[in-house]
Amino acid sequence: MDLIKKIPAYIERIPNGGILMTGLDWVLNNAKASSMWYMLFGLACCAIELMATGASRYDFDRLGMIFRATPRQTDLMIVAGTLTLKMAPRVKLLYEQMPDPKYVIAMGGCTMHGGPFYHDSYSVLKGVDKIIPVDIHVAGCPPRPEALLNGCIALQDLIKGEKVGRQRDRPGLRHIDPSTNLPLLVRPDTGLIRPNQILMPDQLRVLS
Amino acid sequence: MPEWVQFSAGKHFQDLIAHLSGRSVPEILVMPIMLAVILGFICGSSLILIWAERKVAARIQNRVGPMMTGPRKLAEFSMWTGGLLQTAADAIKLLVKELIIPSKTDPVPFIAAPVLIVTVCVTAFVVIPFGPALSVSDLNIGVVHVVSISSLTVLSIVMAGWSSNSKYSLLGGLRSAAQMLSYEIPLIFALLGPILLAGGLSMQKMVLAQREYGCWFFLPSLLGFLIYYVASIAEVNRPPFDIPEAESELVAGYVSEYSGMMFAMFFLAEFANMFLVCSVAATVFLGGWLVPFMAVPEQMTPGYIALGTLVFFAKTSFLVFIMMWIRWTFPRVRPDHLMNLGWKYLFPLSLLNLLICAGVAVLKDVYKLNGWGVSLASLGALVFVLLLLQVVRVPRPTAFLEKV
Amino acid sequence: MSEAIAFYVLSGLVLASAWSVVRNENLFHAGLSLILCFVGVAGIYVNLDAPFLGAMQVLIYAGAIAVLLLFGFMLTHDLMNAKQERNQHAAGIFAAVLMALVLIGTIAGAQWYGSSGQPVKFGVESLARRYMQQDLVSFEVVALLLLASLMGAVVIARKEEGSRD
Ligand code: SF4
Repeated sequence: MDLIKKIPAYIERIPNGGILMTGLDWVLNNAKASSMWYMLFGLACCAIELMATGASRYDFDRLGMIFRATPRQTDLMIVAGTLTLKMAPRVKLLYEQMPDPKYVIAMGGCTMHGGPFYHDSYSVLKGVDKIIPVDIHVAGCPPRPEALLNGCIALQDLIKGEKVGRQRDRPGLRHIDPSTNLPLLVRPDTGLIRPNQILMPDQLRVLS
Repeated sequence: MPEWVQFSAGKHFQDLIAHLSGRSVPEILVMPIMLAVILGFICGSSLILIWAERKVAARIQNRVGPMMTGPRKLAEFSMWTGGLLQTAADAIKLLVKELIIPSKTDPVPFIAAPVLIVTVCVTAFVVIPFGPALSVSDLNIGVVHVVSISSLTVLSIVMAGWSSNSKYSLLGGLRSAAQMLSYEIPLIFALLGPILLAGGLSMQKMVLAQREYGCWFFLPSLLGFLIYYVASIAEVNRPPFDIPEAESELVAGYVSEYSGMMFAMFFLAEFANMFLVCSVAATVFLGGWLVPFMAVPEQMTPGYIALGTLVFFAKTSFLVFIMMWIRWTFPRVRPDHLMNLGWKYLFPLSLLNLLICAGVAVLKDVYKLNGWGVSLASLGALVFVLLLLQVVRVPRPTAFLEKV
Repeated sequence: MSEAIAFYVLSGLVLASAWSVVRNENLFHAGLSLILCFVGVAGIYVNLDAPFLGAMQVLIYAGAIAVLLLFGFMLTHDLMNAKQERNQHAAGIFAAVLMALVLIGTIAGAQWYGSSGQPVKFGVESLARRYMQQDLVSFEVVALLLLASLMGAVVIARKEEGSRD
């Protein structure tokens, strides 16, 4: 498997190999971009909007996007809705079960910073990019289907800019504690203690 | 009887090479080459079928389906010309996906299962007459070959379900094994009627027998045709009989743990199997490559071969289309209803069909009556029997739905 | 020549898979080997110009009976670690020796007919003639036997009248 990953690097070294790789990049990226199968799951109100986008008026299938129920066959995770702390380990597990290359669209305000639950919520994960790397954020509460489609097209553009065999630039995770390798939900500088400090590491340790 | 139609595609191939290069192909190479051709054919037809399925689904759900992949100019024209490269993109994407073999699986059956299902599919296609003189090898056990080889599909599904070591896969495998074992029986019994009428098992003989009869076999064994069609939908695990991979309860059934290329092989086999059962139905019940209102020439003519092949594909595509239509229109059947339908209704009815076919065969062969007339009479008899069943109030097909 | 090669390859397959059926600790793998064994036997039939028999072997043994067997394994608990019990060596060896004696005795005492003629080309008519004319009585007896066993199975599986589950 490692050898296969190195092949592009070897090809680039032979004369004119760069051109070959550009063609290959084009084919593979277009294939990946036009067949993003998304995972069939929804967490809260945004999921309704996700369903609407899949249905006849907006029709995800135009972009070649169909849902698969099992993470093993999906390329794209659309986190649609409020991610509670209790659900967070499951979503991370699902993300880890997806085969590479995998992409994440965070849909709705809840998935960016907690949305309506930003203040004083003990149970909501304030931003899914604390546990999984997010490629595209779609703003709104909920975002309209057009906005979601726009997000998907933006993701397609992102995929089309990739290079085979190169590690891609990912918007990483936020606030990872280097010592435990766990996401921090408490601001490390103030050391403010909130109820979720007790809750979180226990729940997430199961996974890491 | 025009003997030339039993000429095999392998021979054509040998002749062609001999004609072009003056060299002969050794016998031992012919079969592997032909199998490779079938594999190519399966891949190509699945590419088209998957695209078609998505388009049909889209049309039924009032959508437009894939539009952005493929030539955009064509897509502007109508929904049926959009997204022509969609399946190709899917295939390339699945090729470059990571192959996950979960650590708790049993690796040997896990990897062997998708390979087996594609192999079975390819092997079963060997006897299908794609046109006059165009089957890869016209075995004289043709129909039995298809049925027996494709009965190994369930083995692959059981292997996949068990070796994935996941609850959903296991349940999917179990359900599928139960379903396929019980639907195989009405399927085979439904095929017995035409076999009886044709007096042989070879696929090309089947077609020729329908020519001699003067009518296609779906007429004398209409019941058999319907039973075969329903049972074959269940055999290929398509909705409304898709309980082994029901998305709402079993994630993806036995393919839950498969990713990338291995999943693509299952996907390929699903569509190839659909094409297989439909082409068997077209051959056995709808006259195969027989062109309506046109006599089969005594000598081999390329024109007739081309026309016949076209007709065969038209008939098969029609059946495939009906299958897609059914898939996107009917809700899923509950497992116990499924078993009830198979055992209590389809199986006895397939016996009835066998009886009717036997009667038709006797009238035709012993009393030398006209095939057409006899077939129509048999249809009348069927309607009569069904009416009789209504009168004497045996449980009707809907009654069991209310009871359970 | 090629038939001989095919025969030896298939026999090797059959023997190896049969060995694996007996010796494999994992029940499911043993079941799979059994299917491989059946398919190998079917291959031998085809090689002996009996394609119908081969197809039936695949259909009935590999496709139905063995799958039912696997079905049974899948319903057992602790499925990934189902192990065969291995404490019947003495009985097994005794049975094997007895069987071998019988087989060797039969094979040694048999009259072997060699014929240079070609095997009969298979046709459904000949099969039907065989079943419906020559061997009608035995055919019917077998059918009766199957019917009886079927009814027995129904009687055993049937619940008492009036009892719900
Ligand atoms: S962003 Fe708004 S619509 Fe979406 S899940 Fe959160 S609260 Fe609901």
